[in-house]
Amino acid sequence: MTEEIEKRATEFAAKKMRLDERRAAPEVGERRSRWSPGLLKRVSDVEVRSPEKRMVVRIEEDTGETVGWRYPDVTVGSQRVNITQEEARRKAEEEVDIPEDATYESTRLLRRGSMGYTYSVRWGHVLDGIPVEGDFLVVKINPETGEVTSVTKNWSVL
Amino acid sequence: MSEEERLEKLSREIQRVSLGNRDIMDLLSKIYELLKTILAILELLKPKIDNAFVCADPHTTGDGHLNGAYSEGEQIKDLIESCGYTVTLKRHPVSSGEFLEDLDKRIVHLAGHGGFDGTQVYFCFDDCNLYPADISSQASRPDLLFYAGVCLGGTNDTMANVFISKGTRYYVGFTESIPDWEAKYFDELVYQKWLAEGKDLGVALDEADDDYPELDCWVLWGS
Repeated sequence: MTEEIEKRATEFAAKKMRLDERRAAPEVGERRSRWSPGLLKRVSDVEVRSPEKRMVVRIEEDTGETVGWRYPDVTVGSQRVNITQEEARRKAEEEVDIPEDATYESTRLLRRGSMGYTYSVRWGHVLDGIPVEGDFLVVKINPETGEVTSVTKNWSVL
Repeated sequence: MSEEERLEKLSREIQRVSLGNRDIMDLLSKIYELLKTILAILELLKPKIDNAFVCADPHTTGDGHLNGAYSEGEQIKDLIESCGYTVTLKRHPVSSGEFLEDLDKRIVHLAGHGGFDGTQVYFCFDDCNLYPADISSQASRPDLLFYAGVCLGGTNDTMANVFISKGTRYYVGFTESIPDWEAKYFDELVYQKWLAEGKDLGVALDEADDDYPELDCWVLWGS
């Protein structure tokens, strides 16, 4: 199962980081297994390294589904805000597979004290008009560069 | 083996190694005394280097009482202790004076109530509220982190500025009201990622709110 999780994480990271076969294959680094808070699911955070950057991919252990990823070395906050809320949302929709039953909720520019600002774009999970408590998809975006810094998905399959 | 027996043994060892040479014996004895002094100094310094103060749920009863914050105190204490810190834990009732007397610890974590009165941030204790001026007038301050696990009622930085200008490296706060029990898990994750896993504090906070996006109202000031 560990190998399968690492394989899935590597494939996902390679695709996201736009690596192709002509370049060095990404390497698997540290793997941490933990309980996903709130949903009581076991998840693995797998670090995948390419020559240029690192990505941490979160895999749900039971299903093998990729439920999140982040660039740990990308600056979390930014002092400058170069993109609008609409652009942040658009960027999130371009970079992330939004589930069909997701309902867009908000795009917020969060102030992080001396760390600057970050955008948080959020979707909820609504089934037959009923919101699924605790389910969310959150995409964080650096407001200066427009770069997606992290994606987190807590999604129940009902 | 008692301390006396240990010293006696060491004394015999010094005589043996020095082969009866008085000068070498004196030198080794002096080195031994010097090492003992250094060890004693390190022992004295240790609590000052790696110590922390957790103040959880300072209110006794009524609306101010927070079960999640009370429970958080024990959790955060255990976690910080597991990272090699000596931790002082105070839970209700905690007066403002009892809080201020432990402000000299390296990390100070407060889980309770706070607010914003229109001009400045304050923290609530069993007897009264503490304002930035109350902190400012203290000789001591945490040198690494002040973690205000309370609602600051906005991104007002009056309290943060006091800590930072006194020399505290990081100040963490929350701009909105935070659910008591979720705050407990969020704060635990932050310390786990920051102290136990060695991540940058900003990254630890950001990762923790990936798991608890309802608590994405944190702010971090740093010097």
